[in-house]
Amino acid sequence: MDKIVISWILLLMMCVAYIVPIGLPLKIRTPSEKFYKFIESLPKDSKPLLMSIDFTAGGAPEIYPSMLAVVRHCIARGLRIVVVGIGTDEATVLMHKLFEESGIAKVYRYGVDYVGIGYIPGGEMAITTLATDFQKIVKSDAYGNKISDLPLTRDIKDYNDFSAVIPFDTAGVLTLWVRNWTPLKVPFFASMTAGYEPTFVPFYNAGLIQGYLAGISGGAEYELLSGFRGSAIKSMDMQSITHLYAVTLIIAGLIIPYLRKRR
Amino acid sequence: MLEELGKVLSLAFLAMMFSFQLYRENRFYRFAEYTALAASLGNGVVIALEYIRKTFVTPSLQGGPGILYLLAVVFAFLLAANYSREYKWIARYPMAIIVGVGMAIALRTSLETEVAKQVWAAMTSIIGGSYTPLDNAVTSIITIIVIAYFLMIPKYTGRASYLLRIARYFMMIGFGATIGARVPSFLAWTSGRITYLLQALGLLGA
Amino acid sequence: MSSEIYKLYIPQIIVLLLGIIIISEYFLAVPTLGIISSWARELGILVFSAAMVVAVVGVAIRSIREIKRRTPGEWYFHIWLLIFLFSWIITGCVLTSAHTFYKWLFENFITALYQAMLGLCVFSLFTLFYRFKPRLQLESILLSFTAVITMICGVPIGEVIFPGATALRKWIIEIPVMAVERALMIVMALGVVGLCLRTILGLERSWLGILGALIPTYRRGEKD
Repeated sequence: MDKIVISWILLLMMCVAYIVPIGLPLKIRTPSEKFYKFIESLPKDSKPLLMSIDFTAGGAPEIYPSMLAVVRHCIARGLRIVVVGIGTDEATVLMHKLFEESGIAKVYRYGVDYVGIGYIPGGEMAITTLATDFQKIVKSDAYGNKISDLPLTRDIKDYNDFSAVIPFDTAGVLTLWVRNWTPLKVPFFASMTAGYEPTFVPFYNAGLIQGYLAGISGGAEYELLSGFRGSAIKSMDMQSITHLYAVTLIIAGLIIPYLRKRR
Repeated sequence: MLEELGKVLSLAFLAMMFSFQLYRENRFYRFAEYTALAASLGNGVVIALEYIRKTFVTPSLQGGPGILYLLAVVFAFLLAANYSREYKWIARYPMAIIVGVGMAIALRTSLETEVAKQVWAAMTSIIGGSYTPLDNAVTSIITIIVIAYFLMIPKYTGRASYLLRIARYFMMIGFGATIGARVPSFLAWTSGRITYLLQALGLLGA
Repeated sequence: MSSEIYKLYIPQIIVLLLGIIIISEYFLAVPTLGIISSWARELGILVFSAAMVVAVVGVAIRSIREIKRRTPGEWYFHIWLLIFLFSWIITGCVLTSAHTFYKWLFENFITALYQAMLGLCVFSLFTLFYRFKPRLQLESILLSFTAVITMICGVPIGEVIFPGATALRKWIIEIPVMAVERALMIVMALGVVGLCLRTILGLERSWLGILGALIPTYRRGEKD
């Protein structure tokens, strides 16, 4: 019974938090700031950025806002991007959705400023081969165009042809990206599920990655920095209220049984 | 019309799934589960077949490596032999490729980034860097104690067993932080459908 | 003995050879090794893709078994699963994933269902918070305390309640937690290296799918 009551209260709280936002101030953390500053520092004619969609449709509400904000920022800066997907087969359709929502086709020319490869199976084998022999496993993009025909990708051979690699991960392949790409000294940034941040911090501390966005908070920070407000910032009030509710439940769970015993 | 139908379907699935927690397990929830499984598997097959066609079949039909690529595709599909009791052993050949390549790549890369680079980073000078000397000292001590916990357990006897306990305390701090960091993820995953519901009901703008 | 050679030993030799070539390629600048390694990785990716397709066969076999058995409360769902699965595959193969209708299917089935499915976890989590009863042991208290601090200090309300919450969380994550995770990473990586070496050298044979595969010596007469 308590499970149903707690669940309904949580659901109502989440709905109310979205309908009546409070607008609490958000502190920007250093890794998010470094990520933003790197994109800001890239010149317009720099090598393309390699972005990887490694989140599922289920995990998209957490990571997708970060990716959307980063892509919008890149478009505003005139940076070229190549989008792949390694961690999940849902990457191809999520990539189509990303291109639609970011409005990239209105500003950029396909094949010249941006290319969508879609899902590449193989996990770590694919990640390694992308770094050493790109065109071996990428013959055509998600729309059936040959890679060798597209101006942006025809000359891409290996890791030297990218200015940075940015995986967006909930599928758990981030470690594989770090293992295979960081030894090549390519600038590495990431956006990951918040629960993975403690596991990922040793890489950041060792200097293997230069910045990251952790979960929806990271996405909200990036939206604030870049000016492209989206669903991440709107979610922060919901996060605050529900976290307070969680602490209240923990305290109530300790006190109520004690009071019942005393009675 | 398709958009309206999509909205109705999405909201219906949301109600079916959430009914498990907000009410109790029921047939609608089971139906939604099986639909999710079928859709996900189907999508995986579609995307995989598309990739095989684009990367191996189409180039082979256009010349170049040609027959080699087609032979490779046939070889890969020998995995299906796994479902036959008599010819199960045939599937070991394509499996051997994945296992051999995967294990070798994992071995060479994890040694560098997860062992060598981490040990190098752990051997930090106490004075210097972006952290205070106390922070650096704490980091080094904790790293050494926790590694020692895993590598030397049989050798802890008597007073040295206190080291085991201290290592466990530090690990509990690490696990607690991981649990605490996970909570926003769970809430974020739910928020996707909550915002969809509110937008569908007209209570929230796009 | 002869059937053991092609059923058991040749796959293990393939793993050994591939292991040696790919590891050597990383350390030696020999063009031939690079070419073979690249070819092997390409083949590995192809096999991986084929595995995704072949997995459906396994699901179909299991579903048909459940339908034949008329498992109560289950068998009709398996009929639905098979019908929907193969309809989806046919639709996707004909239209391709870039088609508007396929994207509509993805959005209103996969996205809707999986976001709702993952969203269920939070209700169980919050029920757990209410039912949580920490033991009066230092380990339990440390774990609970760190979890609560990390939770609250990671959201904007934390900074409102306690100025300095973000800095406290930053210190916790970047000093003690980072040290623990680094130590765990080193130890786990050593375990992974050991497992990879054992598999490449043929000491670990669980991937072959035979009974007693962990035992280094092959017992004559053992069924595989």
